[in-house]
Amino acid sequence: MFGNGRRKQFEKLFQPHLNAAYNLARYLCGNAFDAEDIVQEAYLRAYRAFANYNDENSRAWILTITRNTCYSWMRKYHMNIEMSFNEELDSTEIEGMPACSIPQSPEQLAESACCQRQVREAIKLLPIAFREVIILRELEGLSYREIAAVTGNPQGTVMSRLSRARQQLRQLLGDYQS
Amino acid sequence: MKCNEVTALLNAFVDDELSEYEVNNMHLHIQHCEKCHQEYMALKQLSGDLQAEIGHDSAPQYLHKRIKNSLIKEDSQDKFLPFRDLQSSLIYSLPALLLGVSIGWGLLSFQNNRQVQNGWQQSLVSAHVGSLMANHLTDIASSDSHTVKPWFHGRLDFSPPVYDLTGKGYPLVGGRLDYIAGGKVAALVYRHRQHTINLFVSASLARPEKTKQASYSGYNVISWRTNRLDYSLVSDLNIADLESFRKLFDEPL
Repeated sequence: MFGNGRRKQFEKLFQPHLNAAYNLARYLCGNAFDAEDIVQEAYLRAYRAFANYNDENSRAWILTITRNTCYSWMRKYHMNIEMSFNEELDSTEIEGMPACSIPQSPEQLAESACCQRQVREAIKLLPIAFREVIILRELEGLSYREIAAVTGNPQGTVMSRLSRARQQLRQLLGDYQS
Repeated sequence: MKCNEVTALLNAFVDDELSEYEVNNMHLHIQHCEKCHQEYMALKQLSGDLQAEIGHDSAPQYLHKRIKNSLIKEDSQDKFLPFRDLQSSLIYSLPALLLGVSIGWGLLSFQNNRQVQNGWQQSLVSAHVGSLMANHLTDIASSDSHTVKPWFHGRLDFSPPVYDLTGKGYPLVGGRLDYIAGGKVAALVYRHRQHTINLFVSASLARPEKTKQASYSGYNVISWRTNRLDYSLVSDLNIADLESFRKLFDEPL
């Protein structure tokens, strides 16, 4: 069947990115329950738009749709979303968290679960526009050009947001002082 | 290169986003500048740690299944719409159309915001007066907030906060569901001395605004907006008492 083949092709291309989409949604909306629904909705939207997909970067393509679905979902359900994101305001004034260090020895390994939690908590404290560039860069390893495409921002904005996001994370994690 | 130029490019350097020429210049500077070298190492360390610590969580296995099912369902619905091209062209022109409409609406609402606000408050006053005249003050009559609040479940897509303020001199009378300007609005009825107060609560997508006081045909209205909900108090109570009632909602209750 025509439809069946189309679906197989779609699944072959985008199934491998399901974890990436799920993680992005989870970090953006802040919880796993909504993330599952958002990803399902995003994949359905992607499938409907599949005719328009022409061999681009499949991961960036599905992440773009996931991100947009996430934002419309959060708006629809009145979830906390910083629509009026103020670059100047949001780049300062964050209280530090207890310092955490990355394990260097087996003894420290036991503490690493706590450290991972701290890193994740710190990321959750970032404004959403900073959070998304950090996830796309550090978790997904996307290039600036790809992040620009996914978030619909110029590359210069991506670079400055990434820089300020890392600055905030350094403050939050209380380490990495030069 | 100067230090400030290096600082500006440091993130791009760590992310491997610079040209060969820039990379060479960065190396040259960092080799000889202790401050920039340390900054570079700190940033590199942070980025490495983030990559190591954020970690992918796997999507639950049933999500794969759910998505597959929804795609199959989509295909079966598709068979009844053979004009796929026409259908998809409609789907793709829809966002543009919606964008156009929403921009138009945005401009319009920007211009008319004040009038809309006034119109909204007047509708609330009418609803308030109506609730008194038609002897339809409450759908659920109870002074127990734990009876009134659950009553709204399933009737609204938001949950209005219901507080028992008897101790403050504002006993709860009950709750009511109103349709105002085409939308569902929760009305909570309180009493103060001989005065009836309607607190209207509706879901809001707009940004928070300052508290607004107004008066229409002898009724006082105070509107405010918090946590994505619009609140309006309407009563023939004098504005000072109404305002002190409103202040109770500012405090954590």
